[in-house]
Amino acid sequence: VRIDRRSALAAAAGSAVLLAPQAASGQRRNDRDTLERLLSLERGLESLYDAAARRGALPSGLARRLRDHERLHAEGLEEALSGGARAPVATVPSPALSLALERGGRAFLRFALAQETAAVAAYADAVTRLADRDLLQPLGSIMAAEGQHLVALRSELGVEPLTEPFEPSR
Amino acid sequence: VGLLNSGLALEHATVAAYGALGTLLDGDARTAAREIREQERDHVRRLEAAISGLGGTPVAGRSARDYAPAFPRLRDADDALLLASDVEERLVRAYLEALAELPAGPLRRTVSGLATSESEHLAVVGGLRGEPLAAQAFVTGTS
Repeated sequence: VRIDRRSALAAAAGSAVLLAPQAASGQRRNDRDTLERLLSLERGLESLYDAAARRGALPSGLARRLRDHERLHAEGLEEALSGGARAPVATVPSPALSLALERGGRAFLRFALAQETAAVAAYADAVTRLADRDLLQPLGSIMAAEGQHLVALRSELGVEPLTEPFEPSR
Repeated sequence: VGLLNSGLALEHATVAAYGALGTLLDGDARTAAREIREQERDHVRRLEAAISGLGGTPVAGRSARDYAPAFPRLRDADDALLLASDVEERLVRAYLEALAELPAGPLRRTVSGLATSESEHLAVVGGLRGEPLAAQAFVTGTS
C-alpha cells in the first residue's frame, strides 16, 4: 500500500465517513473523538509556529515550514472528519505560549519541544485505539513527521537530535 | 509475528548496512551513523522481545559478509549517506504498512514508535546530505 503526501488523509476521510452503520456507532464516535483531539493539537501547533514566525522565535524558514506541516495535518484531519457534526476547535492563544514567546530563545524551543513530544504521544495513543484501520497509515505518517520536527527543534536547541530509540519512549 | 519478523529482518540488515557505510564517513556524519546503528540495535532487541512475547521465534541476523552483496557499491560518503537514507525510507514504509495490519493494542504503539524513530533517523541523514531537517509534512517512506 502506497501513501503519498496529499492523498493520505483524503483517502482516510472516505473510510471515516463510510464506516458500516453496524460497525458500531460507538467505535465510530470514539474514532471521531480521537480525531477531534488530534485536530485540536494540530491547530495549537500551527498557532505556535505561526507566532514563532511572526515574533522571530525560530528561524523564519523553519517556523514557516513547520507551521505549514501542521496546517496540512489539520486539513487532513478535517477531511477525515467531514460529513458529521463537529465540535468547534478552540483557538484561544495559550498563556503558556505567550510566556514562552516573551522569554524567547531557548525557553521557546523547550516549550515547542514539549508540545511536539506531547503530539507524538497523542498520535501513539490514537493509533493504539482506533477502530478504523484505514486511518492508521495516515496518522502514522503524521506521527513520523512530528518526530522529524523533534529532530529539527533539538538541533536548533543545540542538543543531541536523537535522544530516544523509540518515540514516544516508554 | 510474521509482520514483526519482517521488520526484524530489515533491522538486522540495517545494522549491517550502517556497519558498512560508517567506514566511509568521518566527523559528525560518522558519529551520527554510530548513534543510529546503536538505536537500530535497540530496535532489534525490542522486536525480539515482542516476538518472543507472542510465542514466536525471532528471525536471526546473518553475518556482515552475508549482507554485503545486497548493498550497492559504496565509493564515498555521498554513496554511504544515500544508502542510509534508502534503508531508513524502507523501514518507515515497512512499519507504516505493518501498522495498518495490526489489531488495536500495544503492538501498534511499538510499531508506530519504531516508524517515528526511523523517521527521525531519516531527518538526521537528510541533514547530513544538506537537506532541510523535517522536509516533509507526511513521512511515508515513499519519497
